[in-house]
Amino acid sequence: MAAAEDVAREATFGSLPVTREERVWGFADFTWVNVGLAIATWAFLVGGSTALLVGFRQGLLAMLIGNAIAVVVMLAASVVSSQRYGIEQYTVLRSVFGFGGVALMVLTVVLFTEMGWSALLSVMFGRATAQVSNQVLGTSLDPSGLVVTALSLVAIVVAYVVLAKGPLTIRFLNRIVAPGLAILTVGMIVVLLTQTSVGELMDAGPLDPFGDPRLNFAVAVEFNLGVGFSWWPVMGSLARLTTSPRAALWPAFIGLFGATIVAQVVGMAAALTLGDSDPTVWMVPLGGAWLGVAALLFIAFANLTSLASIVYSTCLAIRQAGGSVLARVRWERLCAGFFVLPAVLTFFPDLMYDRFLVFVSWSGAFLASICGVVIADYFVLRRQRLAVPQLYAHRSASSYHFTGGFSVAALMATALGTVTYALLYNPQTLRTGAAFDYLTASVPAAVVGAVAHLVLTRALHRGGRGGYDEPSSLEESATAVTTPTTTKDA
Amino acid sequence: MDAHDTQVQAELERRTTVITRDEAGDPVHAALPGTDLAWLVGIVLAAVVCGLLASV
Repeated sequence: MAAAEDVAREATFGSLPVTREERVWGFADFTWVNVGLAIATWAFLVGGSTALLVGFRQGLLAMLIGNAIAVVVMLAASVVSSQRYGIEQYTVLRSVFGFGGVALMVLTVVLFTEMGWSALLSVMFGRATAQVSNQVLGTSLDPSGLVVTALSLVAIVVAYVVLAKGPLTIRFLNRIVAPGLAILTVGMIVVLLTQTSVGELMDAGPLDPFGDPRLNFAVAVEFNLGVGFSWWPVMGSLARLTTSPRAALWPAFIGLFGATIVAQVVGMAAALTLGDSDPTVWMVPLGGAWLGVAALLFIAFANLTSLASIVYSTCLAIRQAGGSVLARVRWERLCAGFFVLPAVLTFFPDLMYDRFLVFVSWSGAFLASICGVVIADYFVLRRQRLAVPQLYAHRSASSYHFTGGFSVAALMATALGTVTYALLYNPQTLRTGAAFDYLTASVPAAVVGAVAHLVLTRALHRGGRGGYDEPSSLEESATAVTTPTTTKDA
Repeated sequence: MDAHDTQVQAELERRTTVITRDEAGDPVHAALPGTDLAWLVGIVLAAVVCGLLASV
């Protein structure tokens, strides 16, 4: 490949830091980006799943509490540092986990999380199109049958083709989907309000709760915490294109908290009114044959763009984390490799729906701990200062090489946070500890991860290891600029 | 990123120099202000208190 093409490719794939002129998103631009991201089809499913546990009042409270805490913590652990230095998230994370530590995290936690969401979106596409067929063609396709699997595989193939064409195609499709989903959400609110009264909605009971009301509320909050944390893998790479810290932070909060809540409330209200948490099931009963079919078709299309977007971000992360080995793998092959497991999962369409709560909980167990560790590292230990050249320096030459490329303190702290989560709330069995009803599991996991990282870093990373005692690039340069002799020498 | 590619490496060095030297002091690279941090902490605390009140 020609050298000029290499540079263009690196810019496209987000590896290079961005300069002032390349930062194109102000406050309003980034707000729309995040609103588009937030009002995705999964938000309706999250709202419906919350309705399984609690009624409308408690569900709304659980959504507000869970999303507020998780989105704030997640944003502090992703957008702030990437915005300040114009560097994508997984490169910045080298200063927390080390080069090898980032690779370990991406190839396990991030890959698991994003493969799960990809499988879910594919199956949702399959179910939506099967419902359209049932309505329009009079078929009676089973939502768990092989036809849904076949349609889900079609979604994966189409998403792969879109991905292979690159980010411009994704951006073009998102320009149609984001406003469309916003209109669809408003339309559903109107239809909902004509079909049910506010009083009926408030009195509607949960669809499939546990026996203990307090536990139901705690699990609903925990579920929404997990959903809020699940934005973490993609946010830093977006925020680096914004023009100021405030233009990164608050638009992301407005979109991922505010817009998400609106879409989730619609999903919850529809589920409580129509008795099913699956948006592909309640769309037609809610909107009627024609409007419902149109909405389903749009949902199917929107799932394709969401799928392409998250796989694009994840494959970038994998490429960043994989070092020279994955840098040589062709982009198309990397994307194809990513889709293997989601394709296998589509043969079990019920799995992702029935185990949605379990999946989000597992994802939250790791991401909450990681966010706690990142916040402790960036805000407390480094006081928002990083040495940019060290993030890109050759492994052992970098201050962020730690021990053989791994920050033992950060990885141990993440493990301790995750264990804390599992002790309070086992994501697999959904068995809870005594304190879970009051503390949830994500909040203690983040706190334990943060405190453990502070203590372990003091204990393990002495003598300059990890670069904790070095001044930041911006500080060094500011000194150089204000000292004429130094500037001239430089 | 293939840091062994000389042209990519040169571009990386140019950009890190721009960011760390030419743009030092630019508001785009400002740290998150304390006011915003305080708001974030306030939102989390308010949500935690609401959660505790709702669960007792």
